[in-house]
Amino acid sequence: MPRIMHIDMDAYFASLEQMKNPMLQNRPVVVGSSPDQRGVVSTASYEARAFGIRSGMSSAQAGKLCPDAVFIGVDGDHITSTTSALKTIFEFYSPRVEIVSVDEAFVDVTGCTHLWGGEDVLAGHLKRTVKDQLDLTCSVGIAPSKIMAKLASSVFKPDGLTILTPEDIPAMVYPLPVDKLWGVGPVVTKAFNAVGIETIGQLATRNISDLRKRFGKWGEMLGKLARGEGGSEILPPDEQPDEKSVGHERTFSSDVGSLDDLKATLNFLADLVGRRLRRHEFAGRTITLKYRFSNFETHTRRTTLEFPTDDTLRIYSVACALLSHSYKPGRKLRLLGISVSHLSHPTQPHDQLDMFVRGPLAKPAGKIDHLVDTIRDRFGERSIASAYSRMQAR
Amino acid sequence: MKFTVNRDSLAEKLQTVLSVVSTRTTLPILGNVLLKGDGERVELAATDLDLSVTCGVPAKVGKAGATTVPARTFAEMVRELPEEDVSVSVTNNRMEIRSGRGVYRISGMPADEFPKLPALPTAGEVMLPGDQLRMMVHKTAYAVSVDDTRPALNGVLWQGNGKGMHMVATDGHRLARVTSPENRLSGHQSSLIIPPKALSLVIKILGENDADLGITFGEKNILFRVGDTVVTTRLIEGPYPNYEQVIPSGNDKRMIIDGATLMAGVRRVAVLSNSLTRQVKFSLSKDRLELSTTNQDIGGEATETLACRYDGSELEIGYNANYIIDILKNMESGDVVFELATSVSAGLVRPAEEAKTSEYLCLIMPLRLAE
Repeated sequence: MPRIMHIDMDAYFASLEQMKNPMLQNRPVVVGSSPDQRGVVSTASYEARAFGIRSGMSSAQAGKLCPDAVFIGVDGDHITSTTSALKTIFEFYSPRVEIVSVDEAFVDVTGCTHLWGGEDVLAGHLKRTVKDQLDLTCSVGIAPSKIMAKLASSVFKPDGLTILTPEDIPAMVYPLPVDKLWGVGPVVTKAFNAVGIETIGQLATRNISDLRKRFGKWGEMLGKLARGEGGSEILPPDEQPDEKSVGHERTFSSDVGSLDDLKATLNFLADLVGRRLRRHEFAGRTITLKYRFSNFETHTRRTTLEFPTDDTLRIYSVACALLSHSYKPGRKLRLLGISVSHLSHPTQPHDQLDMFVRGPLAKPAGKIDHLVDTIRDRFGERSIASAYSRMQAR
Repeated sequence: MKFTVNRDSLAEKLQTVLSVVSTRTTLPILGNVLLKGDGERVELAATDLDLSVTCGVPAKVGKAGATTVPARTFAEMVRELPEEDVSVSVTNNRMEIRSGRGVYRISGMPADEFPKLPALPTAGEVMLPGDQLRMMVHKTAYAVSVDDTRPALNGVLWQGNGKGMHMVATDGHRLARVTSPENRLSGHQSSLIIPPKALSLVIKILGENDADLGITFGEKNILFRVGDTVVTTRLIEGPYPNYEQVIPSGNDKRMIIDGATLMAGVRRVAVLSNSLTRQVKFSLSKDRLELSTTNQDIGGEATETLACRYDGSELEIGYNANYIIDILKNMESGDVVFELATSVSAGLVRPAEEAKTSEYLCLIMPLRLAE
């Protein structure tokens, strides 16, 4: 039977800052934008959480709740290096490690625990190693599937350890509300509630074919996951599937409704996406635009091109076309994103000329991108950018 | 509603309406066929909201009425029925079908929930020979764009002016234009953009039939009538790009070659071309055309030399083989003329001898060859 461990770093960004700067120890620390700007809290230290500050809350509100809190911006480089150190630690326990995000990971410990004399001993050793080497605490859950392990790690926080056997699931997991299940967002919750599914237990005990009929394959899958069935596969990195898409998005610090500002932002995002595609020698055929209104209503629009592209200008022009076909300027957006999927590794440059295209897009494809990439490789990512992308909304 | 109908004619007409019934739809009623029994006829209709088709089957109608039932299930059932005579009765949208010793029941949805189909006055109907429409659609529709960021190019432009009546399609990479001398649009519409799906449905309904078909123009719709089958489609909003502006007039390098020979050569060479770009290089020199390609992925290389008539300066130009094949497939047999200028500009392809009743022109953009 599979045994999956989920590790969730406690108040990760804030703990990192406290570790870096001892003056911040035992003080309420908020990582995110400053309270006088329009932005959100990334992480709050446990000291700050005592004041009611939570991730995702607006920084302004956090500032009101705790005027003495120290607000710090996100230090990307430090996070990246610590996350890679964590991965090395996890890999000591099992080769099957899946990094979910910068602050959480799954480790498949099936068949490894007897080497340690038990799951609790293994998890305790891992927690101590993280504390000793990085001075960070984490909460750990071990269960038969990924989704149950994630639930388990959230039971005791911070610095907790929860072990779930299949027999524990009905008593410990079933009473929890259904939205605690990974993948069940507000929309799905509402749909479940409408048919009388309020708890994970009610979902788990529903007839699978009934779930399939009402909610399709997705419903069937969630039903199985709620029972602790399936969802335990963790592949070592070299067996993990190729990237499926490359995308970037931006949440504005204040909402934006001007088409010019939005287009400049698309220009900026297309540049990031194109650069990443080319770095990995990918080209993609499907371009997806995502935008979110101030009220969190989110739309995606996509189109599939005849030929794959990694060309920044092409990605930008398609994203602009998608935006102008579906969005009426004026209504304000809080987020804009571009992703490219349907990826392949092209081996021959593809430069089909188009009779209606004039101007820079009619120039040989890839020449400008190649030059920009060369400059960035040598002088850094910020050494060169299109002037238009610099006008992006922030 | 109650009626008796011949199985084969019902099955045939159901097949026609199934062409517009989408398999995946957010509105369940769009998966249904509307049946209306009245007098001597049962009318069938289906729609995907953009494209609709209605047709009739002769029937003995015992009691007039209307309902809708799932189109695919109904069609499949009718095909399998044992006897020629099929009796259908509908009570409260539950349909009962009797044939031979079998009784089959299926639930439907009320007819008044079915979307209202656009109605156009038939007063201004224009007649067009079926073979003319078929020829014009075949010669252009292949070039319609699938790129939905340029919606106007997702349809076939039908345009009438002093020079005649044109059909044009392009995706920016190639363009096809066919012209008939007689402008039947005159007095009705100067230009409209029609979704290719509607045109191919009309052609399919026409079959081998060369009879005239009736066309009625609405502001946002167009209606085609073949016998008592009616296809209505929403038109695509323009403007269509000014394609005439991109047709070059000064291409002075002329190559004349047998179309069938060239197509066979391109097909052979293209087998080894890159599966994404389909790039085949045309190298032209005095009375000689060399086709070549390379493909790193499979270590493929091909070269083939063909005889042609050419006395311009030497020229190397890359094309997507699929585009060349599409064009040549739709040319009349015999010689074709390529009118070229440079390796990065539009080339024109036309039949060496124009057909008597129409004029055909294709434009093809090259693939830029890597330096």
